[in-house]
Amino acid sequence: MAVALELSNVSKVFHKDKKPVRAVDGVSLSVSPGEMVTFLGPSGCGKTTILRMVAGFETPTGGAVSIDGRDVTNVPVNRRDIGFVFQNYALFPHMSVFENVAYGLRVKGTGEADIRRKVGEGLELVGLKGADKAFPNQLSGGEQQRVALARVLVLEPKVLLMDEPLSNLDAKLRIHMRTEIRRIQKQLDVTCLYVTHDQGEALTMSDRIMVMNKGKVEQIGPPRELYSDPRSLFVADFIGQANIIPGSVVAFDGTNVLVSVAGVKIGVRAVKNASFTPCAPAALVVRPENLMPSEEGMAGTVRTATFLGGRMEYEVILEGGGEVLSFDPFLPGKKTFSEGERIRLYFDPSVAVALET
Amino acid sequence: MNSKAPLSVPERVSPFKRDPALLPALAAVWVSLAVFVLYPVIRLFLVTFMAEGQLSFANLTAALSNWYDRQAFVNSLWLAAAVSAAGTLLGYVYAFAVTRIALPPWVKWLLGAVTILPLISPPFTSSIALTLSLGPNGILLKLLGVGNFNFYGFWGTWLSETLTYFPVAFMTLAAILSAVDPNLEDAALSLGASPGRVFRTVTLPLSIPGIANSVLLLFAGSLADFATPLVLAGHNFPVLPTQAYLQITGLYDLRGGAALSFLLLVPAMAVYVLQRFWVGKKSYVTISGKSGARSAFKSKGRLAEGLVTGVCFFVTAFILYLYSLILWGAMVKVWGVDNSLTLENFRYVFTHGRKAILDTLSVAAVATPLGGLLAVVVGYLSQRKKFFGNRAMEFFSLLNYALPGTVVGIAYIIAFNEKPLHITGTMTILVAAYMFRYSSAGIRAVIASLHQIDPSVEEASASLGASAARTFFRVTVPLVIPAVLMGMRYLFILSMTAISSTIFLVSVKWNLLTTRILECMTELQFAQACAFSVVLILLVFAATAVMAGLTRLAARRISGEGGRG
Ligand SMILES: Nc1ncnc2c1ncn2[C@@H]1O[C@H](COP(=O)(O)OP(=O)(O)OP(=O)(O)O)[C@@H](O)[C@H]1O
Ligand SMILES: [Mg+2]
Repeated sequence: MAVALELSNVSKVFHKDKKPVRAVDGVSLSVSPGEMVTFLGPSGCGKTTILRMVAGFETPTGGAVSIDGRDVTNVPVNRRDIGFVFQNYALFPHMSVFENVAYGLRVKGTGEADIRRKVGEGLELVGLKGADKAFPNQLSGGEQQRVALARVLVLEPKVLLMDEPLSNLDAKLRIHMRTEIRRIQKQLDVTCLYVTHDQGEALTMSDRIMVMNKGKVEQIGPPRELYSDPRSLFVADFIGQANIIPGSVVAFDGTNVLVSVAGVKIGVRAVKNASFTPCAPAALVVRPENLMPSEEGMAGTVRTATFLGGRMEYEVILEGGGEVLSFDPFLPGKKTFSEGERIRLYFDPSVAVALET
Repeated sequence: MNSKAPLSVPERVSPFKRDPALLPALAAVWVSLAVFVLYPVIRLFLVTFMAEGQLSFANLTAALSNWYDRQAFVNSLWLAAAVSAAGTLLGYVYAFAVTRIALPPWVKWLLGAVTILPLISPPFTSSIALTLSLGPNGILLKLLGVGNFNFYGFWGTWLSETLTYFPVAFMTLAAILSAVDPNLEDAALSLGASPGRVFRTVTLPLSIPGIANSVLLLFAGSLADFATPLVLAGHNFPVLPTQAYLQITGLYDLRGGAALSFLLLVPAMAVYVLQRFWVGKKSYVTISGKSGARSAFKSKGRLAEGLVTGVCFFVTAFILYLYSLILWGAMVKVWGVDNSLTLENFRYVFTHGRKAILDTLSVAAVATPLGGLLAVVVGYLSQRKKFFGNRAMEFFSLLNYALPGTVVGIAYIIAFNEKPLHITGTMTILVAAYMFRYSSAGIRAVIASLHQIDPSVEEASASLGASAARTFFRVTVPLVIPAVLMGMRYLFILSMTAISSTIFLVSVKWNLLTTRILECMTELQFAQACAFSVVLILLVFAATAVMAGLTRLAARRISGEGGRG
């Protein structure tokens, strides 16, 4: 049975050289049973700290953590029923794979026969059947990672917490393991928090993504929503590639806003809960795949043109200032531009969004 | 060594051709190791196993058939076992407190500082203080109202040696405990284990290599300790180092002394070999990679934490008490008789002891840079150059340190008291004894730091056109300087405070502070002994502070230059 998880207004203050550092600043999040939420954000923004507070390695300075409706803020880690997968795996180097996986079961006092069965099942689940006699230093990084996963899964934890579990693996294995982890998480129906640096990982694996910056939540939402409706410039820039085009507000009706950009007036969607006033500066977020050469639109000069096989990539300096990136699908016979050439760029206003600056 | 020695990398050009400085350096190292390490040991063996011109076990059987000497052998082993067990336990408790319990920083500083004291003091310090507290008319005995209590013998020696050697255990174990990835303990906790179980199943098993190392180090240290039993063991508890000393200086029986020191050498060598080949291999290399956040200290349970901190506080207070006793003892007129304060004893030290002070400082000042040079050259040759015999070179360069000081001292008087190398009574023999015995820490540190420096750094220098010598002096040496300075600091401290080997080598011309302290003790001039100790500790303290400053400066310069380059 999957359980819900709730963070209410959680904060953590560390003292570095006697100066207080707000590593986590008033974070609230509610995760529904069986959901997978990833934390995404630049280094040092507090992702690990939140995860460690949920695990109980760290006590929040303020706020509360509850699992399955029970406040666990002051429950020690060994009584929380969580599974934590460490970035460096933290396998016990003096125990075999079998003993590593059996560790938690032995703590619980499970019978020897049950232990053998469950460890076998756990290793099979992660595709490591028969590796039980090996020691951690005899395994490859990917295998160690899977042992670490099996070690927590055999305990059937209520909540699975993973801190950049794939960051020590090579690119190909990472892609394989992320689908594996997602499959296992769905199969076992376990609530999961997952920390990553890699937006590809976050976009493919999660039900929802929480983007963080400097200890605060920037936006929480499903991957597609984050991509199409970034709530802030930070999120727009952090998820995928984004052109942020400066302009000024001409008119605003609550949901749509008319913006003047590079001498052209364009009506686009406004970010939720915005309050644009005429003549105030605004920023348009346009994804490069939505910004294409055409007869009309914003004028500029091509700075670099790169052929990437499936598409052309243009870096363009706009007339009104600012630099944008444009992706143009490449088809034989289609016109391409070269460096220094004048170009006009057009985008579909219905998929762009305007943010306050 | 000749240049036709088989190379372990046959397809390469001979290293001697590529590097013309290699051969002379190698020759110099081997000649000095042969003269000051191999030759004395061989002479010791010859004296032990030759009787009337032929091979015989007569000397050895004579020693073994003597009841008193046999008892000394058994006592030595038994004492060493007891000291190594108690010292390791105490060291573990200290190391655990410092690395695993959330104590205020100043408490940790205090615990660390107190463990430094025995390391930089002459070996008599705790013996003197213990004699003043628990010996006849001891002040602790008076305080507790215990009338007659014979403290001399096993218990006194054991207590004193445990206090003297536990800092070694502490340093070994603190290093190992802080290297255990805290994530492993966190992982065990998150799998449901209680703090006690985490300690039993994760922390303790992972520190076993350190424990084994510490047990062996302390065993060897106690086995070789000469000063403590000389003061505290008494006649009913003979041990080998003092027996060998008395045999030679009291009975002028060189053969008997050699035989006894051979008996001492056997267990010492066994420990050395065990340590190098067994403990060395048995360490768990932590899997690399970013380890995530630093873990905060989690409670280990009230009772356990209380017990550990309690023991640490008690021992720390006791050590501080012993040292203040030395200071006090140095400032009273006649200990136990006339307790009025005076500076007379320090005047005595600076007049009658002046020569010893200057001699000690000169010997240490000469031995330290020479030992540093030896450490760089041996460390570099054995770590970076592949040629036949470099493992053997490393082994022999560390051998004198593995041998008990008494054995080295006896081997030196046997070897260097006659032609062709008649150097007893000179400064040379004292310098050589220290340099070849105590540069081991430096050699190890240089090897360890070269191990961490990727050879590609040196290869880069070579690829930029630098000669081997230029690479060595401009790239390698600056990189290992912090290690060398650390080793030199250690060498200096030991050159100032050691006695076991040099007690045989001092002369009218060259006397040392430690032997003066011993003379004062045997003549029951406790106040003067205390004053000598205080002066010696202060000298060592000042000198090491200067050298620590230099080390830091060198380290800063190197990292600073690295940053700019
Ligand atoms: N034990 C600690 N003591 C002091 N400061 C800490 C501690 N742990 C974390 N911090 C600080 O808190 C902030 C957040 O750290 P955290 O490890 O949560 O970042 P992160 O988002 O996980 O970063 P990364 O992506 O690099 O892993 C950082 O500024 C960090 O230096
Ligand atoms: Mg992190």
